[in-house]
Amino acid sequence: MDLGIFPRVVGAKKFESKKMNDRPLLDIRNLKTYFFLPEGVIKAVDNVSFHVGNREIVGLVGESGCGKSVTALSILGLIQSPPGQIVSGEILFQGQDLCKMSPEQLRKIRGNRIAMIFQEPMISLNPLYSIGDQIVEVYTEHYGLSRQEARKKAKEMLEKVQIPSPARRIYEYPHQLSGGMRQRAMIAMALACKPAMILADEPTTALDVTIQAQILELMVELQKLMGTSILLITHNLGAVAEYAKRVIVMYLGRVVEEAPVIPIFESPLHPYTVGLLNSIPKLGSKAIGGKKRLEEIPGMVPGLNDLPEGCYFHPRCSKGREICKRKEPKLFENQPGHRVACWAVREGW
Amino acid sequence: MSEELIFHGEHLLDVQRLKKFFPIKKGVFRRTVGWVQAVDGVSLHVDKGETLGLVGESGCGKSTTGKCILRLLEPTEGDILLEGKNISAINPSEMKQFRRKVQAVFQDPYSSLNPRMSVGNIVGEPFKVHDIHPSSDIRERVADLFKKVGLRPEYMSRYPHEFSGGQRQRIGIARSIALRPDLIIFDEPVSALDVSIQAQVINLLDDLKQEFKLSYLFIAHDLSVVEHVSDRIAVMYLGKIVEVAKDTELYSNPLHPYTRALLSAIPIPEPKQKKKRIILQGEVPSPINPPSGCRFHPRCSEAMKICKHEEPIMSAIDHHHQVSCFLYR
Ligand SMILES: Nc1ncnc2c1ncn2[C@@H]1O[C@H](COP(=O)(O)OP(=O)(O)OP(=O)(O)O)[C@@H](O)[C@H]1O
Ligand SMILES: Nc1ncnc2c1ncn2[C@@H]1O[C@H](COP(=O)(O)OP(=O)(O)OP(=O)(O)O)[C@@H](O)[C@H]1O
Ligand SMILES: [Mg+2]
Ligand SMILES: [Mg+2]
Repeated sequence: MDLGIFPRVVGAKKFESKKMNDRPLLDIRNLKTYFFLPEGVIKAVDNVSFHVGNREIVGLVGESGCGKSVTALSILGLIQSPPGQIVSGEILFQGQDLCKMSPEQLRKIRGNRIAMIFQEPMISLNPLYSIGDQIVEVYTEHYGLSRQEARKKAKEMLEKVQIPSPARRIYEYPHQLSGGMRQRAMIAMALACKPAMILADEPTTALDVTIQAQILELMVELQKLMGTSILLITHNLGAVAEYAKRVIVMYLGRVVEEAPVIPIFESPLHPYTVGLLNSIPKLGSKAIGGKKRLEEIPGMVPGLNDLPEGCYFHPRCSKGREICKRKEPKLFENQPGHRVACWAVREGW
Repeated sequence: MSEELIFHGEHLLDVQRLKKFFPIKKGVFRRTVGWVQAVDGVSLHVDKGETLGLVGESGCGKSTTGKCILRLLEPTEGDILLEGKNISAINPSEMKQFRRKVQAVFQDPYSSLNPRMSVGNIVGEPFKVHDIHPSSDIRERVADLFKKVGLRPEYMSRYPHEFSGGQRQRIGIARSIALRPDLIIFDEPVSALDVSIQAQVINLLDDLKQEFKLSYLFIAHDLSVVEHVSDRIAVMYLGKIVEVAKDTELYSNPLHPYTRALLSAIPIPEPKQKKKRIILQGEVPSPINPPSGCRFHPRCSEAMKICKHEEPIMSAIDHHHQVSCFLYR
């Protein structure tokens, strides 16, 4: 994708010194986010730990309801309370614990250092203001620019995310834009404050494949340019394989496996990850090997208020044994950088 | 491909030059000020025992095509033939026959199941509607159908909201096969399901097709899924079919620049394989004022002068492969 047409590169920010680079940008430790409902406690995020390094793209995958969005909302301090609450754990961002911050401090971090791109851009775009005004506001608020300067910057930003005729679009309201264009406007807004980190929660799921490709390429291009880290939340394993450097797999509120992208796809360890990868039809595989039956993970995802004992995956697992029914397997490092929570892998049966 | 595919001179389903335009009305007098050209001259066929996949991006007219075939929408123009019989000219009793032979399963399993009916009654409803008394008791038949789609017959007295998305989709499928139809039209049957459940439903569809010698028209936007289930695939863009080919042929030898872009846009879950991506410029234009000539020309990197002024027609590259593009005149 050609970004060279823009006269000046905004960003390319050196936000970390060499020394600080040893520390991950985001380090989540033993996070528990629960929802306290009349019918019981929903452990949406249950003892989750992972990190995102500087300039790193990390994929967070798992089926619907496994806690991906709640993880992201916890990082941003946006858990609806009540009924939700971060029960325990730490979310260290650039060394500071976000869980200990005041709402005011969190609000500053959200607008400034961590940006979020949602599946539905209408959540983060204000329908009452033109998209130009919304981006202008980022510049006047965060950088104290005059409106005129801010307007110029906003136009540059819309150009950068390749919104056609930005000079005109700047006056348009979110509802006047197509889905893809709105997503671009949201990315423009997210990047305007030059965040250190972007939480992208299903950023392209609602879009057509050809538009999806445009947006993902754009995000990664801008990520390289600006040195931003991305937590890419999606159930699209193809997108993860292509763009993420490391992958975290969640199942029912827990991390079951974590590894760099190549081992996750080529030598996955957790039976759930293996099942997930085998159950998706792969484009072109028929042309090579003929039609094969898809592998199924038997049964279904249990409800969070109806969880089994021990390993949550054991009722659907072909490798399950007695211990899996009783005792939760903890994550352990099987190979450097490859962690997995499974008795079968741990005990080698 | 199965043996049943021997050509009998007529297709099971034959759609000819189908058009569906929706009026755009404005003002107090609801005057028609324009037309949404949702489906504009679509021809396709499905043979006995075959699965035809229909893919394309949002708004290209896939569902409208399906609904016209099902007669849920009145076509603006064109003919729909089932076993050689034109269904626009049939009498009510023949229409009832048609409704029995052609079934549908839609994307959202929730909204297509009546929430106030037990799922057993939902699956048994077609017998009542068509006044069919199976040799055995309806309840038994429904129990059989439940087993066929992998649901426990004990669940018959429960209501739709008590089931997961994948189970609800199974209920819809059970109902669709109740009267042993010839053709089932699926409109995004697995898009709302989780990946691990998607595989279960896709395998079920394969099994049922074998067992009951069914034919499918499978509408979806996910090309990986469509490729997996289909024998042939039709690619749609802005109301028109731009390419039709055998499943593996479409993947290994895509001809239309749009098909190529579409295929290249799909990320593959193989991290070592870096794809060369054709990034399409711009967005899908509106079907209200579609571009002149070839509807894809404003986004096509290979557009020539003629593409702007003339509309390409479908031409056969070989027996299994047709494309509508001036590059292959
Ligand atoms: N405000 C809330 N009140 C009660 N339960 C909630 C709330 N928000 C989320 N949950 C529950 O927490 C669990 C995790 O939800 P979450 O949205 O994180 O899933 P997800 O992994 O993002 O799924 P999807 O892929 O469908 O977006 C779900 O069971 C959900 O029902
Ligand atoms: N009842 C209607 N009145 C007016 N326009 C309609 C109507 N139904 C569909 N359309 C329009 O017709 C076009 C084709 O719609 P259709 O639902 O067939 O697309 P599709 O290919 O099924 O898309 P998707 O993948 O999003 O389901 C769209 O532009 C749509 O807005
Ligand atoms: Mg989510
Ligand atoms: Mg549709």
